[in-house]
Amino acid sequence: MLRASAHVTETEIDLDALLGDKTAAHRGIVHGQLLLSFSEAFMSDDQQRLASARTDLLNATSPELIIEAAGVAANFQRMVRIADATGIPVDDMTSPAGIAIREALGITAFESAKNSPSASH
Amino acid sequence: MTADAPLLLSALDNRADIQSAIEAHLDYLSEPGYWWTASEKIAIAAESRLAKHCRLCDEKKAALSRRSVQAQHAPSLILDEKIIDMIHQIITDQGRITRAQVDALEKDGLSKLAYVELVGLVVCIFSIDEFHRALDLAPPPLPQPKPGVPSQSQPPSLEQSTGFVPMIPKLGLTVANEDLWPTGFGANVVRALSATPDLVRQWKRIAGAFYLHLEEMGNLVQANSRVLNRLQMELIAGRVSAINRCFY
Repeated sequence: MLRASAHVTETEIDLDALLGDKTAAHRGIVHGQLLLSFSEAFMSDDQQRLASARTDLLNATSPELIIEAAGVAANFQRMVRIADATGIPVDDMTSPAGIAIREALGITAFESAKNSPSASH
Repeated sequence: MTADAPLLLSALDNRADIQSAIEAHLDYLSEPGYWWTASEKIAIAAESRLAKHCRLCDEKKAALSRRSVQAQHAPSLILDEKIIDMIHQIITDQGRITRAQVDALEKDGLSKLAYVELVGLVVCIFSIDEFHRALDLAPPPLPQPKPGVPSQSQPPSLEQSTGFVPMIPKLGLTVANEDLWPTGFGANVVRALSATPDLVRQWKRIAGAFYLHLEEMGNLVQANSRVLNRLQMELIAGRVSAINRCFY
């Protein structure tokens, strides 16, 4: 979806941001580095790190944006668990864009790739 | 609470959609479900909360095979130990859930339909709790259970050809559940819990408040109701999903 949004908005981005590259996150995404730091701190389960990242983001943006960022992060804690607990495959394993992005990000090594058979051979 | 808390609480006060989605889910928890009583549903939610900080789960996740770790989670008066273990795995090691595990639970008496409901209950409360954690706010208290028995109802046309569990076919919506997804949509992740339609409704309502409504998904620029633009949202979504090793 990040790539689709970049395409529609004609924004040049670097997908390495999804792998944690902070320089890449800065490219084309307003406050990208701070949002990436917030996301990673959230996932680290280190509450001090999270507080620090949240304050940095708040100083640069607004409380309303923090609420939304927390919501998006919490939302995607749910979606992966629905997918993996029910074993659903990716809906379309044949789209060239999907294939390219999975290869670029190296995610075919993830355990749950086994649920999308053509990804796990 | 941190020094930022008053500002964040004030901003949250202005998000009635988030508050009502959370309150609606807590109300939903307090009612008997499809296959679980209200007490069982609340016990499932309570166990989900324990999983986040479970040391045994850390040990199991680090092990080459979860079965090599013989220790068991603390027993519950309400839930079977195998169900407790599955709740914890959904929270802490979901990528290694297998069809064989879900089939084995069925042989032990947990039907696939009850399993679907279990998954839905776990992921909804987990998402709500994670939202609070992200803001350094205490999670909402769980409700008191209301009396009653599970409805044991299910949609009329379930198929078992996608994933580990039965679900409504993409084109199989009936009048009673036509609100679950827009005509022609039916992505697997939306259908995944459709054997228990109210759980789809629950997570969709939470998702609509936390992220976007399904109907807004096609707007790849910026939803009118949001401060974050879509690029910013998808950066967060993508990084959280990558760390979760989400293939889907």
